[in-house]
Amino acid sequence: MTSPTRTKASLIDQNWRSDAVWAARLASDRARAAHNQTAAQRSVTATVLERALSQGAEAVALTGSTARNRRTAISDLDIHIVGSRPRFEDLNEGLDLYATSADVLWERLRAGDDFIQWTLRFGCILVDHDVFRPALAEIVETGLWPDPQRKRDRAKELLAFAERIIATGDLDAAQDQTRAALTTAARWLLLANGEFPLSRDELSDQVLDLGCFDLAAALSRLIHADPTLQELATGIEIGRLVISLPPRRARRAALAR
Amino acid sequence: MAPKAKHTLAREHLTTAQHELAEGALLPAIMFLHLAAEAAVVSLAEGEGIDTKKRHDRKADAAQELFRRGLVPEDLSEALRSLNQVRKDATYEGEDPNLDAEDLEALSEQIEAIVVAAEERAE
Repeated sequence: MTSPTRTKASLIDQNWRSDAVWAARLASDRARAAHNQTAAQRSVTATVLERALSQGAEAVALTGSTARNRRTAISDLDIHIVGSRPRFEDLNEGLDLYATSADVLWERLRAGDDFIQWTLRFGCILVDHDVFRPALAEIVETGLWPDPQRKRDRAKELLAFAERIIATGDLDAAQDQTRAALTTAARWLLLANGEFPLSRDELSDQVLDLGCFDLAAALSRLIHADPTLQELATGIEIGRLVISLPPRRARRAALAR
Repeated sequence: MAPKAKHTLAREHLTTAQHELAEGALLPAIMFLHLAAEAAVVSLAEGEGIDTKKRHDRKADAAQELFRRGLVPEDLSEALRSLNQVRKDATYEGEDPNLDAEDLEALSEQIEAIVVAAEERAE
């Protein structure tokens, strides 16, 4: 699908088929990746990169909050691999490795996946053997926009699971699951209103800019504070309300007080 | 609802995981096995003064340290990291888990051992 309301020019709107433009992107991304990681993180990323390439990876990018330089206390080091997932269990770092073949990447991108677009738009591309570049060009040339409905469906499932975990009384796990559910609901809200969701730490501001104050506050508490089980239950109510409304009405979703 | 003790939660999550596994519901089984293992590790780690900072990677590191100190029968750090990745792939990307019922049965037995250690320590 194409963006319903997107009008703002963005950094993505460039001629990625130009060798000079692409070379500048790679140089800038590599410098940003080096800058945004600690020495320990750079070492882990280098190990993952080396292992991935030795297994024939076609492309690798640093993605997620580290790429945006917006890490929080709960951030992982996210690495996107086009190829098979290398061994990582021996690495002492919070890692999230997203690995698919090039065929699956194209299939998912065209089916409306938002994570792949996230990497292409905001990630630090470390290596690319002609996978990320044509994918990025296709996004620009076709106006391809992620399918918000996928996020809404996922948010519905995650909200149900988070509610189940809240009922167990496991506060740590309930915070984790509610955070996953509400960030997914926020991503739906943003995509459905023509805004591309940034990193998790930036979502509450983006949602606030849309006017959805309750969801923004719940997200912020989940990322920066230590909400109680009762607050989490309220967060689930907010998430359910938001995804139950049409996109433009959902921007003003607020719980009755 | 008041938060419960971690060793109690570990046992409850393990029981739920085993029930889900018996029903053939692999994804919920994975989720609850992961929760059970983490709750047991945190219960033991807190008793040892190891702060896991609510981070999954720190809990995996703690599992390794608990094994090094002889408090658990097996080093579950790699299993925890692997379960966490499977859980995230399924949760965020909707991917089918790459673990089958047999893998999960084996993991369940390994995790039960650390749940028992956490219960014994709490007593």
